Amino acid sequence: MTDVTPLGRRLPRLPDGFAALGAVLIVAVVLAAVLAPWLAPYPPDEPRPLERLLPPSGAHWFGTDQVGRDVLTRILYGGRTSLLIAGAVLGVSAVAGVALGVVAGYAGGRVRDVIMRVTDVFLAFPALLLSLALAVVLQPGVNTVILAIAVTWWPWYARLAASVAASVATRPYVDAARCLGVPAPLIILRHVLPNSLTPVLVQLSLDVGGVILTSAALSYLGLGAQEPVAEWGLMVQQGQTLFSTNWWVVTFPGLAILVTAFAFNVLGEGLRNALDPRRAVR
Amino acid sequence: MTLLRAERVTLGYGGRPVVHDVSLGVTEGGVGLIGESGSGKTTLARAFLGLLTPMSGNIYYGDQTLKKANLRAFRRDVQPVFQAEALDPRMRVGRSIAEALPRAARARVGELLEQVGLDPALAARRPHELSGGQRQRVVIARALAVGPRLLILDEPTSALDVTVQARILDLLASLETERLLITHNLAVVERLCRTSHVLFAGRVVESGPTARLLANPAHPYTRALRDAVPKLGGAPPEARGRTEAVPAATGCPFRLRCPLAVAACEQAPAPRDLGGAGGTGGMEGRRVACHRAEDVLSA
Repeated sequence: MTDVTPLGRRLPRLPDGFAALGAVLIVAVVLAAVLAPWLAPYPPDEPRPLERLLPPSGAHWFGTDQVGRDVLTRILYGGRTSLLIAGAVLGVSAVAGVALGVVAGYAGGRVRDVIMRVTDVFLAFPALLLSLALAVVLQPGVNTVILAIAVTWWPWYARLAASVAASVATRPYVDAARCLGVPAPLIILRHVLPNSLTPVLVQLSLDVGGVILTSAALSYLGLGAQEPVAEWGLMVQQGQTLFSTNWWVVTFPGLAILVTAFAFNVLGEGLRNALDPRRAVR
Repeated sequence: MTLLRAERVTLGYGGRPVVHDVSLGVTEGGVGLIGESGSGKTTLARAFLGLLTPMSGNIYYGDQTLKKANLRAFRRDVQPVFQAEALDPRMRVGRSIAEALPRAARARVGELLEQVGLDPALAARRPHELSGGQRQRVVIARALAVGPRLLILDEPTSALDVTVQARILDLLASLETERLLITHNLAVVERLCRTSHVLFAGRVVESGPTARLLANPAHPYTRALRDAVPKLGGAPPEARGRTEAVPAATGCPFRLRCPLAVAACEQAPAPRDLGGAGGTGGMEGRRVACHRAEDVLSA
């Protein structure tokens, strides 16, 4: 629905149903993670050898894992770690990548060449290999995972932002600002950056699941989150050999990743619609 | 003195020239640059705005080249009016106009909107909330904000329907600034420009007073452009020559499309004054680059 004010001014319509569902799911996931100490029925890291691999029941809704810990409890706590990693990685990557990308896209020429060659160097290494190398040099842990993944993730944002900004920089409103003598940094901040952000925001929402899975891979190799820290990816990796016999150990943390990634994806699509001023009135 | 002029300017992108050795100045009464898409009109306009550096030749602002000129004064004196789409879609139109004003003068936004015939309340809207004609007026208001002496108008009416076009033309004609108009619309140039230059393939093929140039073209391309304008109640315009042919790489660039082309056209024609050096018999101020200008005039 489009709301029209008495002056005829249209307001952006609300996100569609799917986007609203995504937003609700994300709020639920974030709340569950934040309120984990109050919501969780058991301690997250207390082994109970007598309760190993119990299937879902009234006492353990999502069953227990191979050392007897409650899977639901670990999913609630794991959300904290996974969301922290995803948020930090994507925040650092997007800020660094977009800042360099819009400068490269607007300036063009040698500035663009230099920045793009730097991104090429980072992209030339297989992401996991580079992350591994960094993780080996640094101490294993959540901070290391964040740094290691961000180092391999930002060049994609730089490239995306550069290509969009290069296109925005040729728009007549940018030429008009140049003709008014507006300094280049202000043109970038006022015109190029805001008009380059939509695909970046959509990409961010699409990348949440990927970052969670990458952090899981690093954790699996012993370079990321370490036991007994609860982390969804680590739970999936540890439970994968049990899938055919004790499906709940891997299925529920997998579903947590799936639902979170889905929620961010549909929210991203809704954001794209809401942020495009031309779509807002249709 | 001419405020802005090009002297033997060659312009291009990535080392490939698209405008060749063009000399022209913005004289009183409005100057039109006429030509089809790809003829180099907008490239030339970008060079006049200081957005594109010539490969050779110079753009002069007063008696100084743009490189040496006071850019602050240049930006105040020369402003573009692009098509209606030249507004930042995310910015409210009041802010777009205010961008041109010093902080202390931002209250003038409403006054500028009124000057172009818009309600000041529209300042709070975004471009997509306005009609094409309203957007074009906002673009003009923004250009007027710095008090320019010259407006460079790049197809200012081509995206508008004819009734809106007429009102925008009235507005442009009422402004006291000088103008350099880029268009493929001969009616617009006839209305707003005392002098016109016809571009084909990056070269000026004919220049002169607009009324006489359009009434009696001396270049077959100018005549083809004029004859291609549809007339109410008349037969549909008939395309003459090979309209699909690309410009010739050597000799006269128009010769592959020219119905009057002869062997001599394989040599590039030098621009010459019509009616001799002094220019007489209604040919004053007219220049053409065509071996067969006299035949075109008498046809």
